[in-house]
Amino acid sequence: MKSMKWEQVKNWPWKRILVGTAFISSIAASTSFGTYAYFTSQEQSNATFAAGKLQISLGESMAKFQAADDQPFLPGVRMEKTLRVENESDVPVKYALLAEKATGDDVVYNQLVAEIRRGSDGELLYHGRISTLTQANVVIPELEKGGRDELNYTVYLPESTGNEVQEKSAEVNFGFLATQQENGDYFAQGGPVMTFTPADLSGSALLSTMQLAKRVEKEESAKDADSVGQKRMTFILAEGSYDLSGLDLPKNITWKAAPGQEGKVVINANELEVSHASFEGIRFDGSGTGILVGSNVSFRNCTFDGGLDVAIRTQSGGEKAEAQTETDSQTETGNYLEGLTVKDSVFEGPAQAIVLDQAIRAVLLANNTFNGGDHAVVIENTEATQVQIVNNDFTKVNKYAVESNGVRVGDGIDGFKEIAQEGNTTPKLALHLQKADMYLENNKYE
Amino acid sequence: MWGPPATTYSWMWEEAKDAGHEFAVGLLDISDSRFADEWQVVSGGNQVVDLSRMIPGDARKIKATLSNGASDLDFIYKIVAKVKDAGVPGSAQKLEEVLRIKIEQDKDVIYEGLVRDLHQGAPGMIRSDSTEEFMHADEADKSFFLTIYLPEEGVDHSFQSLSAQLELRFLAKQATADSIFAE
Repeated sequence: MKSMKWEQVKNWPWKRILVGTAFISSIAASTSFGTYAYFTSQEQSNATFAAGKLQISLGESMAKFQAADDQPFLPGVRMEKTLRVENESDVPVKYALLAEKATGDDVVYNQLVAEIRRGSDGELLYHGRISTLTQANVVIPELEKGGRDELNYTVYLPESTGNEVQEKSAEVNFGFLATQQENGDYFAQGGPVMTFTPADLSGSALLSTMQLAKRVEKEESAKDADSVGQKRMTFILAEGSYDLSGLDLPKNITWKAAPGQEGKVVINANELEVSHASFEGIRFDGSGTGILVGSNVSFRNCTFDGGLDVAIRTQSGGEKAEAQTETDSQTETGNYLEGLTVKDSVFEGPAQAIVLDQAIRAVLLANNTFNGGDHAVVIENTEATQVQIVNNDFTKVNKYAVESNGVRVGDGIDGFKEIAQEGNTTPKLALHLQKADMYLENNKYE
Repeated sequence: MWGPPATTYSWMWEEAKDAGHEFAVGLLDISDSRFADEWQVVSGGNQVVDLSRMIPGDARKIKATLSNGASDLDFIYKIVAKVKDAGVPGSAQKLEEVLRIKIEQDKDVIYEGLVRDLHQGAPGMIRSDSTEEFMHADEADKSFFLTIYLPEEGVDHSFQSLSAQLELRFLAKQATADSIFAE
């Protein structure tokens, strides 16, 4: 092990990063004050330090993703691959799962879903869109020195995906980002992180906060204009109640409850318009219609108050995706919203939990619990909508799990029921209705 | 206000990548499939080929070709037929009580029965006869002869002057176990 003088040690990690990645340098420069804090506690000037090694390596079971029976890649076909992450460092590490689009068509990339499980115990690490794995927000807290994790990746297009993906493709890079365990809660690669208290987002502080956020948003988007996949910011909200109504919210923000404060961070939702935003661990309180979603909105581990009439409704006149393919322009008369993910969330009984009254594609509703209320999912629009509904608990819904222009799925409905096919224990139901493509799997109704 | 990132870069980190996984979807296209332009009279008095003027015992035949066009995917196809109201509501349903169809493929009769049994049906219902089959992407076009006829018996006066349209279609879907045919 090579030993270094203090001066060298001080600069060492710093240089590495500057060489390694260009895109983070400006943020780091503005916040470099805290950078050397860790090392400065070792203050003897003559001491020599041997910097340890941090290294992970990647092994794999096979070179490519493969489906059972060598099936081609189609909606619903699961492509699998096992990756092995080995910690060759001198210390235990934690690591984040990453994915990025290399090349290809957004219409495929934006809809790709990954299910990632750890081989040793089958623990589910992530199940959701690949496009939201860009932020290093799924962290495996410990991989011991010399340890090895087998990670089983399953990648698929939802069954509700339609003809628009024909002859389209997307190339994806999967990454693992390891760091020392002592490192903070957030990986730098996830983009800038700002923390807020209710006071920062109310009264006179609100304006300056929003200005700052807009400025960073602008800087970030300018910086990454050339690269694939735009950087996002993370807003960490401390416990308390927030009123964001009437604000033109900055885009590409993840609004996240501070660690341990999940459910205690309340956003008052009264026709709150959001698009290109993610919410994690937030509670939404209000009455009437809570949130009006545009394109690319995701909710994870959120709670929706039972006092709401409608928790989530599609925005009319929201920013819509253009019809992208020839087939689209032939069969679709208008544009549509794209990308709504609601997972691991609880609806405490809004009369209608999710109302899709505008055409929207790429809707994923997974692992949610619907307590009370009349209907959980209502699809009533004039254009085709695509919805994937998996692993939800509808047992406490009073009327129907899904309602779409008279077609109903739910407890006591015989016509449309999830059925386990031969040789498969998972109950499934695929519906192609005039206005909606729906795929339901493994939901609980009674 | 700037939070944790202040400390983030001071730590060592390393990234490992498994790059370049392409997820490409193929093409399923049967738009080159075609039905012959004209019905052929097999038996019956009318010299004009007009389905609405068929009398019991009349039979009309048409050739249909299923083409996999530019498809690079295997698929499952299904032949569906339906009588649709053209004028008086309810005519189609009444006609379907008697209108029959025979489908021949390479001289084998793969279906003979009521037209109404060739409705698309509920998702997930799989036909046991060869009107629902698998086609490889590299297979040659398949030809079918479809004969529509009114049986000699069982078509009484109440069927007189019923008029409706017959719709014949090929449907195709991706060849995976849980896929369904779309409209």
